[in-house]
Amino acid sequence: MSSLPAGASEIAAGVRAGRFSAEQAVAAAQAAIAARDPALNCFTILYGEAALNEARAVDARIKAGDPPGPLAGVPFGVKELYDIAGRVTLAGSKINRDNPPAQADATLVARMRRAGAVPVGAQNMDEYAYGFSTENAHYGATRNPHDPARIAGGSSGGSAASVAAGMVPVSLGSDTNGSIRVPASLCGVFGLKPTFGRLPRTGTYPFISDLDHLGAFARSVADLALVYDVLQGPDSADPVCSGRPIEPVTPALEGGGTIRAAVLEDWFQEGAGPEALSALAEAAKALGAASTVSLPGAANARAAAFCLTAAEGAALHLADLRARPGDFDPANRDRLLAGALLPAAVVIEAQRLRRWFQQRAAELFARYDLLLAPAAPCVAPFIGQPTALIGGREVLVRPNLGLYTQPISFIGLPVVAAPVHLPGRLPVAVQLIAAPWREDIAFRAAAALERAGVAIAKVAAS
Amino acid sequence: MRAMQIMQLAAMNDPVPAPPGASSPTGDSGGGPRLFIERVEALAAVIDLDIPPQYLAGVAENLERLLAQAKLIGDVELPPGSDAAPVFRP
Repeated sequence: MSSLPAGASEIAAGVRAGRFSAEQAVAAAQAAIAARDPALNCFTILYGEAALNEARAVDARIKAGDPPGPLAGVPFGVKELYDIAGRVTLAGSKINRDNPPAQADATLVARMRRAGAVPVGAQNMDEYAYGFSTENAHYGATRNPHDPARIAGGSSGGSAASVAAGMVPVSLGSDTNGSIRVPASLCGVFGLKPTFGRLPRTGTYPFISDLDHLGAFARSVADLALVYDVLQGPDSADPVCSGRPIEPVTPALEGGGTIRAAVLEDWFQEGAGPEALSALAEAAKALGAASTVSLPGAANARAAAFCLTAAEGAALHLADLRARPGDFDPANRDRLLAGALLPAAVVIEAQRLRRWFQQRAAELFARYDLLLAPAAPCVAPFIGQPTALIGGREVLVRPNLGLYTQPISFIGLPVVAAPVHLPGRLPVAVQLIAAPWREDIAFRAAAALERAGVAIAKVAAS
Repeated sequence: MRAMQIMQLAAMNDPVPAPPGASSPTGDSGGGPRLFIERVEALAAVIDLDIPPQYLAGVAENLERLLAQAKLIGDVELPPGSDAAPVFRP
């Protein structure tokens, strides 16, 4: 997008003002994808001429004097577990190739389109969203734009990396245990995981219904807020989706007022590498978070999320696990089979713990508006690297990248992952965690960090 | 105790403690890996899940990891009557 603005807000403003067309904006994104994606593998399907036609329709709306929407002509990427009408939703799998095409867009895709945005392609992910690395056995690994020898994180790896590489200004992802926050951290972009139940999952391929959240990536807080405001709203087709009215965050970004912030300690710092701890310290300083607090039961909550994920994931895929286990990504097959053998009592106990842990977090939010924690324990590991040094010990990469995200999504708290680029280091992000339904506070904190120059999402050089 | 649990989680590539009543596929006690794999096969048979032999060791390893995590869930003493949250609204 060399000759056009790179941000969603600027693109939409330019298209609405007639400085350039939606078609030009989409074509510029396609050129950027053509230039960079062969080396990075963010996209598994490109919409090509169909996307250009959609952009032309946006231009026609403007010419006809119809309001084109707040995201007029903004190209965006879609994690390939979102339904796109007429296309098969692969969810990173080989098995889903046998499914019929989706009959309708996922609700969030439809809302993006109604706002004038144009999907340009489907994006790579861990198979069935089960993983933190986007090293997909069927579609290849997505590479980190800051160092292509390293992973992008997952499971929304293609979505995060495409934004970090400047191919698209925004993309849609999903987060069950950290699948937006971990790749946002490793790729150095802003990521939003809203409150559980805030955004409808209708028309997305499920993973763990109890834990699935949808969200987005962007390179600025304003763009993330703009997209989030478009995505909000009830949807009776998703029984988990709240009936809450739209609560726009964009107007609050410049808002003042003190945010009572504290830094989570214990579980959320033990094992963190120097980059994660430095980023956390910088963010805490900028937000005036002088206190450190403990969230009791975080290790147990993480364990509960771990077990729920394996058991519910296995239940979802049991028919295929019986019939065609060899068609699963080997990284997932054995753990899903193991999940099928987990006693039901473990799942029930995990759900009981969830309620208890929610109450422990609520006690902290009686004293603080915002809690800070690293989004990942380390910078991006290398592709194919089975273990990483976390907390001074060599541990498995795949299960441990979500150490700090899993307890938080377990109880559905809203989080903005704010990227910090330390000089000469790969990026890491800080989780800005708010009380349920207080996305506005997480956004205000992210905007404050961005204004202070602490949080920044740089386009990775090619 | 908590610190020990955290270290245990952070070191999940290390051999994890066997679940009560089961032998560890990575340990030396009580029958060794073969016995745990046999128990995995028996468990799978209960739900009529036919696990191909070449996957059994990997499934056993993952189940052992899950059971170690499940033990952590039970370590929190929940108040009597605390309810599950199958439909969760924060």
